[in-house]
Amino acid sequence: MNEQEFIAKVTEALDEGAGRLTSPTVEALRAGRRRALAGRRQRDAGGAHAWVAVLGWAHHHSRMFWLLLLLAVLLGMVGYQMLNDQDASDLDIQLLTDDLPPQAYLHGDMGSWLNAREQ
Amino acid sequence: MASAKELDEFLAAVERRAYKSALLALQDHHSALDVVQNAMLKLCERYGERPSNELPLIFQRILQNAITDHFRRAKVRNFWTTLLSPFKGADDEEAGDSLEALPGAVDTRPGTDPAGMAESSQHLAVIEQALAELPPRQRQAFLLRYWEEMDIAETAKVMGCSEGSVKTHCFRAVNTLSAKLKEKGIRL
Amino acid sequence: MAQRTRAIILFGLLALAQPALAAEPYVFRFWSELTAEQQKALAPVAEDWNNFPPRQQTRLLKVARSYGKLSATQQQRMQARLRAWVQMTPEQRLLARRNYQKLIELPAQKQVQVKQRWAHIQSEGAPEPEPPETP
Repeated sequence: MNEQEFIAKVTEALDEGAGRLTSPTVEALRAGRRRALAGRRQRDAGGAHAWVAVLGWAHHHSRMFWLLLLLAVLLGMVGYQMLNDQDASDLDIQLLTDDLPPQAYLHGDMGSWLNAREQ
Repeated sequence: MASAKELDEFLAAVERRAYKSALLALQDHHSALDVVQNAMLKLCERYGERPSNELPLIFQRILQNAITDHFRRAKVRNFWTTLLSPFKGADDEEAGDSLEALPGAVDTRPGTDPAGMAESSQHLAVIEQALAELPPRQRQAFLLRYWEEMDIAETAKVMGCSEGSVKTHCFRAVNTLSAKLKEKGIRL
Repeated sequence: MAQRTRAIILFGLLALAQPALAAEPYVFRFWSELTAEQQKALAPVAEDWNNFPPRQQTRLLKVARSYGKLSATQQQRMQARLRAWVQMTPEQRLLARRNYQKLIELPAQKQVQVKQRWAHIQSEGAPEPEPPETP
């Protein structure tokens, strides 16, 4: 028997094994799949719910000031995380090329050295 | 971008093989189930927006990483004791779930073995045991290449190694499997 | 301004924010999808790259962007330290960044002092014990 035939026989056996799973297992896999998909759908809907909630609120408290404040918060949340990473990465390259190896900054005494009010 | 329907169809098609692969690696039913369910969740939560042709690659990567993590953290049961225990007697009251702890195990108690499937089941069990005994990288490469039917480039992507390494792992896997099966007296 | 106009403005602005809030801004890339320059810069972590979460990948790619502007010595240094860096936990990296931030905010002389202290401990092993009190 050549290699291709051998491989085919092995995968055939594997397929058969996969076909013979007991029903509790099959059910558990199906349930897991449904849960995973539901989680994804919720993400899409989440945005819509936010819209509805905010609009209803804005309708009752129709002050421009509050609308702008809300907007600032929304964009701030988005910007904050991305800016944070922007700063972090500029820092990273500096950290990695400075005099000390990265482990140095984890050293137990490092915190006290940096905070000490020196002579 | 993959639709919910495409995601569902993809997962439905791959879930049994994913479970089996995890079982071969982890030798434990609950861990394998855990790992597959988490991989499905991760795929849908983080990568549901990707085009559907990328899903197989991404899913396998998530699954393989989860298996590797689990390996490192959990104790792997001594597979000899796992192998020997079902042969001790037919009075095992903990049938059902625990039967799947032995890869390929099928209910062979008296009265539940129509059409003499016992022999072919043992045949199956030995093949799966041989796979379980392969070094992890060899088993990974073999299953991805030949069972998931990925090409060498895709397999290399999932395993995070060179295409040359994939070829080596596959070559060794086939040789080792072939030798093991001969040793165990199985003729394919 | 009329109620309706306010609503329209809010709609419009939320529409802009919505995709950013719903989508993950970090994209996963396989090692083979990186450019040659990126792979050159990140070579020490090639094997583990496919296991990194998208966020970590994005940060490392930003580091890689600066690689080309570094001197040869700096490039060597960065690559020598990259493996240790990625092997830290995210919490450790956060701590390292915080401490580094504090360090570079110190006056130059104090920075040198801190660095020398660390170097001293590395070469000498444990710090010298206090001399015993003489009765």
